[in-house]
Amino acid sequence: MIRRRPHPLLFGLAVLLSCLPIHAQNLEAGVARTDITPANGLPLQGYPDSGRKATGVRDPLYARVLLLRVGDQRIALVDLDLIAPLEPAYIAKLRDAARQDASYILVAAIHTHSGPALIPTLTPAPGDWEASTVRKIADAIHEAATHAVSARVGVGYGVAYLGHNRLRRNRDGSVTWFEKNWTGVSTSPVDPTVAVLRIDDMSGNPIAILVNYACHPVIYGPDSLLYSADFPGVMTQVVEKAIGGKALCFFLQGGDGDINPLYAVTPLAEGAIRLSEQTGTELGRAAVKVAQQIPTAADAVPSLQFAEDNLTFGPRWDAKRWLAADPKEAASIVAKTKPEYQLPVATVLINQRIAILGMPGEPFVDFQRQWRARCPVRDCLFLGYANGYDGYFPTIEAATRGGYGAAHPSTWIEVGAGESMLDHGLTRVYEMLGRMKATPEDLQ
Amino acid sequence: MTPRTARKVLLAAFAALATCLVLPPLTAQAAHSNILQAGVAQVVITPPPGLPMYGYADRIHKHQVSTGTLDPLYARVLVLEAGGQRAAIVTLDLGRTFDESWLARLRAAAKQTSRIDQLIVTASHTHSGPNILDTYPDGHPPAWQNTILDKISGAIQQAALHLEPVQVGTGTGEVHIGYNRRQVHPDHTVTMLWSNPEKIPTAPVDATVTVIRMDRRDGTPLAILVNYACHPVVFGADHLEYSADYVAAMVDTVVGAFPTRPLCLFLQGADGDINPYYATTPMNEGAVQKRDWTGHELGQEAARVAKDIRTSPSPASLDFSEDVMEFPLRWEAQNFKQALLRANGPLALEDHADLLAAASPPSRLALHVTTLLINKKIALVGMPGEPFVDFQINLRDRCPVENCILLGYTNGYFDYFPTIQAASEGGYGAGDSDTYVAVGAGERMLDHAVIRLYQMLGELRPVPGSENDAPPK
Repeated sequence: MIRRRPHPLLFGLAVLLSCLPIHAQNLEAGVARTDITPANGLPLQGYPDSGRKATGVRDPLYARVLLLRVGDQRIALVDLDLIAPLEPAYIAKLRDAARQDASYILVAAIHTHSGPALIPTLTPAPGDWEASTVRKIADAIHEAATHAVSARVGVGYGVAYLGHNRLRRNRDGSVTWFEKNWTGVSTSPVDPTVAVLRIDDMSGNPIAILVNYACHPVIYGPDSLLYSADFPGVMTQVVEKAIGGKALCFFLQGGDGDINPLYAVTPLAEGAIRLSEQTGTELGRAAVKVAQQIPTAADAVPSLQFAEDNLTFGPRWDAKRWLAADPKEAASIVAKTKPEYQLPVATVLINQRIAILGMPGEPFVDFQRQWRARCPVRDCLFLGYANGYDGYFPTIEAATRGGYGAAHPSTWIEVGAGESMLDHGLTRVYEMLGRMKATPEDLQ
Repeated sequence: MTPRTARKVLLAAFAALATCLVLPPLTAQAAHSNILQAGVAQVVITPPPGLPMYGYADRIHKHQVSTGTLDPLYARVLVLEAGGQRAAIVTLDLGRTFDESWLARLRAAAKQTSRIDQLIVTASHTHSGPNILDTYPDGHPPAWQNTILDKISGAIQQAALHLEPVQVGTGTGEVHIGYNRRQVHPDHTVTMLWSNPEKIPTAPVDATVTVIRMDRRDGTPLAILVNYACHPVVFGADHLEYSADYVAAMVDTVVGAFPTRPLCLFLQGADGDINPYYATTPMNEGAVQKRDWTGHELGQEAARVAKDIRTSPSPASLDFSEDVMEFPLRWEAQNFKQALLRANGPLALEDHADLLAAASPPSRLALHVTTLLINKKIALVGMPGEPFVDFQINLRDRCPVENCILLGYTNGYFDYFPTIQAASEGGYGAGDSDTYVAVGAGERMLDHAVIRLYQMLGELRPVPGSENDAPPK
């Protein structure tokens, strides 16, 4: 008979960090927050005008850390009030700096367009600031680990109608850019789901409230030159105030690649501040309503499992043909086109019942819906902007319809990458659940 | 009883499914003209008796060989031409297609004699045909394989010589002759239901019969293509005569429904988990009658649909591609080899010589994914093995043209392709040694074919569209 191997599907470039559940008596959780707002003067990123530079701070940008621990297995979720995660080199430095406290670190960003320029394929990144940010985050991870206590978890769901699909479909199958939607015109697909993960201490006092929702934080437009977490910053304040105590609220950005807030890109003179606060407050209230009704429970056999695999994809565009067709537009981007890309796909499974999938870019909302529909456990969270940034991930069908993020230079990974990453994450969860056999069942 | 089928494993090396490599297409052409031309031919390919038979391990283990012919096995050929480009569809009353070198020789012959640019060879998966392996235990393919190749090459030539203008139409119907043989329980375990004469409801099942009708200029049908997903396994291991199983009865029914007796081609669908209700009926319990019932049910519905189809002139075009996608082996290769030898002894070579012959087992597999788009309206997607029926349903849901047909057993054979979910549940074809391509391969091949179709339709451009907006970023 064949002896079962723990990781028969570990091949090639896939990096399986851990697929085995680690069992201990308690799940422990700790949180910490650190201000990572840069100094004034850095370029802001998110809108075409590359000349934008920050002149001040509307609200601080934070790095929030949730440290989960079961025995020797320790996962740190780092949630950044930034447009994208740190560059890969800095993520590597962070993992190295915090290796005593965390076996695995998942770095996600909320995607605010009122933060410093980070996306390396588009602009030079502010290296000094990133280096200091890494140190701050490593300290925050240590603080969260130091204060971790036994915890219990629960998940609940609500809805909030704050966003719309900004690629509006026309009768001929094409799409039209639909940036703002003040009158609330119905669009599709949209996912109004507010998924809330609540983590309590053993007395029932909240330690962390994680809110997963899909919507671009772009209420502030290019005329806003102040650092801000946009509506997610408001949301976290609303939740933390309502929950009370020392609980931290995290905004986990979902598959928002084609989802804008109704009040997107509102000029300051037309009430951007009020509308950002209104949107964040509404989301916060929805999250609080859900969080207050979540019954948390300590699992008899807690466990933490995680995997990060590099999937290889080709480029979306034919660089030579693009250069020939549109030399001016193509020149700057074609030069950065690689023959292949390694995209990290993160999968986390908490207590064998809460799954998190992270994609390194801007997945379209259909992926979030598919993930929830196909995920084999009850509670499945979906994160964009996780552990890297490689542009938009439209679905195959969306890629054919065109439009920004779907058939524009803002997407540069081959069509079908999102589907592959989703399937990969799904397979990983099945493996973590022990439902994907390591050897053929007739030969065991 | 566990059906076992021959298999092919091509290359060796571990690699993640993520690294699945799409090699340049063997062919990728688009051709347009005003008139679609078609020619048909068929040839008997029944081999001589005395050969090991396909599909059931029992017969191989008992060294039982074929004793004769119940009904002849055919190769049927449809050659299509548009704009000077030609594609040939070859359907085989066999358990599977032949190995890649055989296919390459047929491609070359078809190209040389008949200017065929794209060859689609697809098998009905009858379990009453001769056993076919990619690598034979003695290292030599049997002589009848070469004979068949010559016959099929000749049939392609005949079809190409008799091309005539046709117009095409499609239709769909429903018939209930099959069921899902994997019963999944609430605890995620699976029980195999090897026959279902009481017709217990199961899921998923796709009752859809898709029919393509090609008419001559006078309106008489030249060819009727019938696509349905169901294992041709009414005959079981006690049956030792060559037969196309229910497909023979289906073809007779369809052909007999038209005075001009068109050629009827059966396109097996994604039947990886679908059996006929009367699967593996013993001969002394009326297997022939049950075979006929199954085939007649399908044939009557196909004929009804075909008669209702109104073909019409359409701008003619043929687009096609055949891409080689690489996937890792699902199981750890060396352990897989040793476990097969331990479980089956030397008899394992009768089924797995391709995997077991080499000292170092192959662990990287090259699968051909075929896409043919006719008149920008009818798509045929071929996978080299036994896809589960959910893939067929999924393709139809996502199909960007009027009709999308998923063909199993096409241009190669790599056993079963379960969905990711089915692979996690297990059962025959989903979690046993008869599925050995990495989990997720079916999903990847399907996505790839959908992308190819969009490209053929001009809806996925190689460069960004100038009409696209360039808002925030």
